[in-house]
Amino acid sequence: MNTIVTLVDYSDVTPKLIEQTERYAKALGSQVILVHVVSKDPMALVKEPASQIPSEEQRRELIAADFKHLSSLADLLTAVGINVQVRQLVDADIGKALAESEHWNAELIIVGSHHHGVLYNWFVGSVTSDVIKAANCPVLVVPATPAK
Amino acid sequence: MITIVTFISFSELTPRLIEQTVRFAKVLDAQVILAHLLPPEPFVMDMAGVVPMTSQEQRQRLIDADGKRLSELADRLNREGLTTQAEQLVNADIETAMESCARWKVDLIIVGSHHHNALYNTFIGSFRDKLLKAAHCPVLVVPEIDVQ
Repeated sequence: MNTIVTLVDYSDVTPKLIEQTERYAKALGSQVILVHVVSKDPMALVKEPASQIPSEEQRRELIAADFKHLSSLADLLTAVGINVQVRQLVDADIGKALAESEHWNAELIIVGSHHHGVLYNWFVGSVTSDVIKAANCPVLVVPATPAK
Repeated sequence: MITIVTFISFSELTPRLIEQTVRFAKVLDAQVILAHLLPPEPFVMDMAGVVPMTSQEQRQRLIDADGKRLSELADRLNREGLTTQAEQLVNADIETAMESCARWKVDLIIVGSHHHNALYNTFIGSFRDKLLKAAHCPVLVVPEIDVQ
């Protein structure tokens, strides 16, 4: 079966990512793997500005909540008849996500694009460009900005 | 009807771009615009001021030959049953190309990505990056190498 791997990041682009994933999964008759990378950074899942690094237990709770969120996104696709699996990659990086897409022999990777400033791209780098450079299959880049 | 624009660069990647364009146009039931961007002609600065590197006649020959190649590609897609038109964007840059896309009400842009050739990355890679920054619709990036 054809497989689409969608990398979600829970940003403002996520609803559009899910919408496009639905569209292409239906068009291509593909199953979908929703992948979320939780980086090693202990602050990775902390949403509010916090001064303290979460304890191990708090991090476990954050990871559990994150998985729930990922599953709820998957439910949106299941509800429209798409075969979905979720993969939460804890303490991973984008390389692991790409390895996952290779494992599934993905025919399409879907990612969101954020228009960061030059400084952000310089220091943090862009997940989008990392994916494009390393991917062996076509990559659909979904912009955060609404279509005009 | 959904409209796909594929930016053709007449490189070794073009067959793969065409292949993906046909595939997505068929599953999305989309019409296709094959676009080729001809940047403003290069010029040299000398004692006499700005001197174009090609004569007007040479430039016109280039534009005609390029237009012919593009039309031939479009004809091939039309023969495969896809509604396809060729659009030559003469003296265009990324901004005017995006204006054209807005005018055509494009739903998907397909563009190639060269992995290995540094020279290509400099010229075409940067076009891809500019396009990803400027596009308001999803962009499908097709890699040079496909392991599948």
